[in-house]
Order: sequence, then C-alpha cells, then structure tokens
Amino acid sequence: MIRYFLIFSLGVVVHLFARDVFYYNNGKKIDLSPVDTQNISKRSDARIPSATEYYKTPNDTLIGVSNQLIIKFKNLDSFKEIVNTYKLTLLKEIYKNTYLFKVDALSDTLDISNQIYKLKSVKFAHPNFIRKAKER
Amino acid sequence: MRLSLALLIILVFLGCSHSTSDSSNTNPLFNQQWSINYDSKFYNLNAIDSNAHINPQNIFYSYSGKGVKVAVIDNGFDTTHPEIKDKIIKTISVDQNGVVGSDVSPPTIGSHHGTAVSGIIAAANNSIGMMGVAPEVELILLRYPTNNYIDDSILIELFTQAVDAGAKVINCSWGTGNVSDAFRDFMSTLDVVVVFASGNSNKKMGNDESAMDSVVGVGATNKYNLRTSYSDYGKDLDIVAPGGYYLGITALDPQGSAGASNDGYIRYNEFTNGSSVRFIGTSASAPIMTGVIALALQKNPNLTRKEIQDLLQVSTSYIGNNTPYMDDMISSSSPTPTITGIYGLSQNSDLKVRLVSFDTNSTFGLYSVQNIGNNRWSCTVTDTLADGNYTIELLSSDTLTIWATDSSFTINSQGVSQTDKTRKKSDFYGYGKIDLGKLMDLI
Repeated sequence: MIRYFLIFSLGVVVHLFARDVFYYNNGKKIDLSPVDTQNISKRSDARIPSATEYYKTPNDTLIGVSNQLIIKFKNLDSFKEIVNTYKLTLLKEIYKNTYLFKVDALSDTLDISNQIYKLKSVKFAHPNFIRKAKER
Repeated sequence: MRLSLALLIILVFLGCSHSTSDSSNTNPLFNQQWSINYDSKFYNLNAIDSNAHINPQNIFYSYSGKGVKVAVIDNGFDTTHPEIKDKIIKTISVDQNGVVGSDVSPPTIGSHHGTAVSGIIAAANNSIGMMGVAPEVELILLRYPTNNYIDDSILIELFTQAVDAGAKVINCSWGTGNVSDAFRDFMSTLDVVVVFASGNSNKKMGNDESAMDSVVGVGATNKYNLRTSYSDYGKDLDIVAPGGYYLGITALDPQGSAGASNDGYIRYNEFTNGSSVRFIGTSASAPIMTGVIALALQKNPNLTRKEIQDLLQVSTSYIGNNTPYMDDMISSSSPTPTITGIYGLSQNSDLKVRLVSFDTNSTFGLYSVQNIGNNRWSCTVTDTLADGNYTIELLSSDTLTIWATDSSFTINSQGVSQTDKTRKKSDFYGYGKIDLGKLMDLI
C-alpha cells in the first residue's frame, strides 16, 4: 500500500514540476520535445555544435537552443527595462529594431524568450535557433 | 522555280518548328542540357517530353544576364573552375561563430553541391563544357558554416552580406524546414529576389524557407514534364522547373580529385568510379529559376521583387502532376458544399471525391471533379450531410485508391467551418512551370 502511495506521489510531483517546453512562432505556440544531444552527436552527426539544448518540433525537425535569444522591438522605449528585468547582455543589432542577446543560463533561454514574447512592446522574441541546412 | 519555292517553304517550316533548338551553340555538353535546350536527337534518344525544357526560344541569343549580380549561398565552391572563375566578384564565408571571412572552398573532398549550383546559373558560354542559364552574370559566392549548422543570426548575416555586395538575386538550394519569426520578418524587408529549393521529400512544404511569401519557392520537374515524385509541394509552391530524375541536370563539379567526377563536370548520366553521381533535385531547379530571373533583370533592371513574383505567376505553363493533393480546402456554407482546393491534377484526370464521416464512419460520394481553371479542381456534394465532422478523400474512380486526403471540416448550424480557411497566396499556386519565352515577352 505504501509502495503504491509513493509511486502515485512521485507521479504527482513529476507532473507538477514537468517543464512545459515550447516557443512561439508566427503567433502560435509550438511544442518541443527534448532530445538527447549525446545520442545525436554519436549516432548521426559528429559535427553538431555543443553547449546547446536540442529539441524536436512537431514536424520532426531538430532545432538547437543556445544561451542566445533574438528580440524585435516595436519601439525601443522599453529596451532598457527589458534588458535589466531579464538580465540580458546585448551582443549586437542584427537588423532594424532586432537585437541578439545573451542570457546567463542556457536553461533559461526558452522561458525568458516566451515571457518577453508576450510583452506589448515586443514584436517577437525567440531563441537564436540553430538548425541544420540540408542541401537539396 | 516552283520547286525552289516549295523547298524554301519546307526549310522555313523546319526552321520554325522548334525554335528552342540551338545548333550554333559551341558548348560541347549543350546538347545534353535538356532543361534549357531542345535537341531533337537527344530528346528522341532519351524519350523526353518535347515540352520538358523551360521554353528558351531564342532568348539566349539576346540575353545572358550581363551586369546582373547573383549571389549563391551554399556549402562551398571551386572558385578556380574555368567555367565560373572570371565571373566571381566576391567570396564571403560566415562560420558557426558568425565570423566573416573569404574562404569559400568546399568543406570536404567530393563536396560538389555549391559548384554544381553555380554552374547551372553561370557556366560560361564558350567552347568548353556546358553553358549556364545566365552565363554573363557576376557571381557573389557565400559559404555557410561548414558543419551545416546555422543559427538565425548567421542566416541573417549571410543574406545581409549578399545584399551589401550588391546581389539582385540570391540562390538557396538548401533549407532547414523550420523558419523562425526573425528570419521570416528579416526576409520580408529585402527587395531582392531570393530563390529557395522546395526540398526532395515528397511532402508538404510546411514551415519551410521555400514556403515564405517573400521568396520564390521552386519544385522540380522530370523529363516527362511532370512534377517529380520527390519534389516537396503545397499551396505555397510558387513554380516548378526541371530538376531531373531519370535524367540528371548537367552541372559543374570541383576539378580533379576534389570533385565527384573526374573532369569538372557532372553529366546528365554521370557514372564515376562505379557509382552514379548525377545532379538531381530541387537544388538543380532553383538555380535554373535564378538564372531565368537574372535574364529578366537584364532586360529590365528596375523590376522589383514583387513585380518579378507577379510576372512569374502569370507567365507559367500549367503541367500535369503525378501526385494530386488537397490543401486549404474551401467549401460553401451548405449541407451540400462545393469543395474547391484540389490541385495538381492533369487535364484528363479521372479522380473523384469521397467524404467520410468521423462520427458515423459512413461514406458519401463519389462526386465528380471538374476543372475550374487556374490549376484548381472542384466538386459538388450531392448528398445532404448531417451536422458533424467529415474528412475529404480524393480517389481514383476505378480502383478507389486514395490519392490524397485533407483535414476535416465541420457542418453545424452556422454552416460549414474549417480550421484554416485563409489562403496565403492566390489560387494560382499549383504546378505552374517556368516558361522563359512567355516571361520575357511580358517584360
């Protein structure tokens, strides 16, 4: 009986603390499934970049997330406030009103991107996604 | 006199019967470049549909892409190849750390992709080898990270570099299958024509680079003048061009031991060291389109990206297809809806539509399919459907083989609804094949 209670409790805890992994693209929430990077690099491609978390999208595309994110601002009034609130380090402007930032911890990139995406002063925000170009 | 006149008429007739044939071209491999040249002997020998080429007419006599700057973003290039070396005005590499350099050599021995693509666009019109679609363009060659992993900021850097170097057309015979907001938004700001290959997996394009509104997405046709069975498809496919299947597209190869073949060329039937190394795919279709757009820009350098996209829409020739599909199904608000949203059938397709009820698993139809123009087909449901959810199936009428299905639609008190009724592009998009002659006439 105690064993069943422990298993049930463990299930509840896992469910409560399970990370809802997603990002926003074109106004839609895209669910992501974590992928074991070690397995990828050993089995299919030894050239895969390290220091990156990898996920599969619903259409089975592999995408990587580093500690960098991209934000496009509708206007720059809130620039400083966002940088300070989320402890972002500016790396460079990549095109008009669109900036590349670094976050402190790789594991925070998706969460911070998703929070910033919802801000009214921001047009979009997402990790600086790494993808594999395939010759066709 | 009468005999001479008759002979003259016959000669004139023979001369006009296939204006695409070009016997004066001195490139030794030109006869096998079936995608851009109708050579009756080669076509007959290889059983090629007489319209499988891009309808060059006599355009190559008048236009060569001279003065048009074309960028190719790819995996590396043989910049010393005699067919392209004199056309290269800039080389740019961006590595996986975003560092910009100028070494664009192929990453590995046998890595021929970028060289092959560049040759299809720009190989010289001379007395050696092959000829590109636009042999007098100026080339800007850009190499992406040699491990092929690209982040958004590097992608944007590559295109920024290409535009800063003066590119008016950018060829991309690759894709990642997953476009981010930043890349989509950035590409919409460019006023250059970007051509993307649609992919070779015989699947809907989805969130692919080639499906973006701001680019020209190109699929592949084969020697039968049909969409190839591998070519990715969908409502966002802008155009198709020869990409080969049974016959490859003649292309350049890095010279010597660095290449996949032995002599710097990949022929339509290349077989080297015991294996086939033909150049086949939407990777070959995209540079044909890029070359065509360069010819158009030579004729009218003031054309904007939007104007070129519009011209491509109205100048294509419709072709049949070996895999019809349905997308963005539109139905009228009625228990007996009219369904339009079926694409890619040939004129004489004998296909029918059937509906399957989710709720009762009962079927309705078969309903006949009629061509309503612009590569679209329609059918009218004659059964009265009860409220509920239905799936649409497209079947061959004789064997009841299912060719395609589409997402469900729902009938309720409000009529017919479906999740995504918004057409991203006009109804035109289907299998419109590039027609160079018609395009140049319209400019």
